Amino acid sequence: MSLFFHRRAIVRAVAGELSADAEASLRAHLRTCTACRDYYDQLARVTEVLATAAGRADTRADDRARARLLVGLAAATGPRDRVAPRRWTWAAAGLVPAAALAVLFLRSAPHPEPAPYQAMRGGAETADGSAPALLIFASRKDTGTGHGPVRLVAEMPASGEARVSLDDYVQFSVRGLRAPAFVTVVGVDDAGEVHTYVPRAGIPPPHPAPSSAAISLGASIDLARGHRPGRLRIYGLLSAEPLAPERVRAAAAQVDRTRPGAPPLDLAVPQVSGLLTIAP
Amino acid sequence: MVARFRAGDREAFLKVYDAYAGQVRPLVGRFFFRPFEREEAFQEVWLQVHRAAPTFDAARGGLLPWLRAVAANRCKELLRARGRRPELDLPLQDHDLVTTTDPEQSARATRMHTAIARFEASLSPDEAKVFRWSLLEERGHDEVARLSGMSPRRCKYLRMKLLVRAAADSELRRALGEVTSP
Repeated sequence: MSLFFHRRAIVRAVAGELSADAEASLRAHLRTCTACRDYYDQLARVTEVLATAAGRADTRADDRARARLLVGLAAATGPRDRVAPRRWTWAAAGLVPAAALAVLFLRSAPHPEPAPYQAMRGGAETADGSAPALLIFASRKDTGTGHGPVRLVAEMPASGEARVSLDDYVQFSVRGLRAPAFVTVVGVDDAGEVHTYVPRAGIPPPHPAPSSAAISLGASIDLARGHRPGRLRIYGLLSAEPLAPERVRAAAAQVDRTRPGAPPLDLAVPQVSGLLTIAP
Repeated sequence: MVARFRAGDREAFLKVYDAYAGQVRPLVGRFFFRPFEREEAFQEVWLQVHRAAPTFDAARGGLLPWLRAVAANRCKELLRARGRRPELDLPLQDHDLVTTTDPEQSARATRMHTAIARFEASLSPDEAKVFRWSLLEERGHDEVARLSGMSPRRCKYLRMKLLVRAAADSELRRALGEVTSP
């Protein structure tokens, strides 16, 4: 099941096409998932042997190893290198840029944040070795039964780009929190329109406790309402205090849509992000 | 440079890494056969080298033997931590790190080349170009795009697609298994 969602990220990682933060997130998952690790090994052996057959070193793998070592060194030698730490829950959540930003904010923040929140940001893995993830479930509309079978379409950030359609209902869940956190989920489409999914207007933001199980963040959303086909940048924001909706919307509205993927929002909170493509 | 390396200087450490990583990697590969484990262990070895750099004493021996000893010890620790024992009592002499040829190895290599050639022949012309230039020769996407007349994006896509196809090709897998199984 897990391999189904991580397959594309694994291929991209072995092909050397995955960003450093996404690769770190994937590797955190591979440490705990045998099926995904087997698939990774299978592909990695192909590149190794093809390199050997061509009589050369696997230079892409070498480059990736060096890049990983630099990140590891930064974690070992402290923040003077200004590189995100290696053992990263939040990097594992695909959030190296956000974590690095958060570190910078922490340095200048006049008021320290509550301890559990700092622990969340700290970078240790969860008890079961997993990393915080934003799960997106979808279900096709069905005139007879209301909706069809529920399927997991994304486990951000590790699963890479996910696809749904305007005929789908989607629902968000979070998994792998290290400390209780208020969760906000927003989306930004290609036209710059910001959608706030969690919390709904007039409803307090969910405040799930640490858990390795998926915790639902509210009722499902009908994508046919207010959405258009195209890419949607999804952000899960985890904070010690509820975030002001207008502040989140302002940050989401300013996201650089020319950049690939889902660039982090300008908010000093841990973020889980990814792309959702909505088909007609 | 050695003094800077011992003092924990990052640039000196990276120079040592660049100079010796290629010689340490095969040693780690003797302890960890699977690529993911090997990559993780390789990283752990070099982080250990960084931590242990102040203990290096040039008067007692060269850098490479010291690196090899650190690597072997770290690999054994990692195996022990996973509840496994090193399967081999690995000698650490130089010659052990050099690939030797024997008739059986040559035959395996021939079978692998045959499987690769057959796989390549099964590809469309565009795929064959990307397979040859990107996967075998490991040229950059831009260069492959220029040579093939395709867009870099398509080259990137084909590279990943071919990687998956190659991993699923039964004959290629058999040949790869022969040269990668312990």
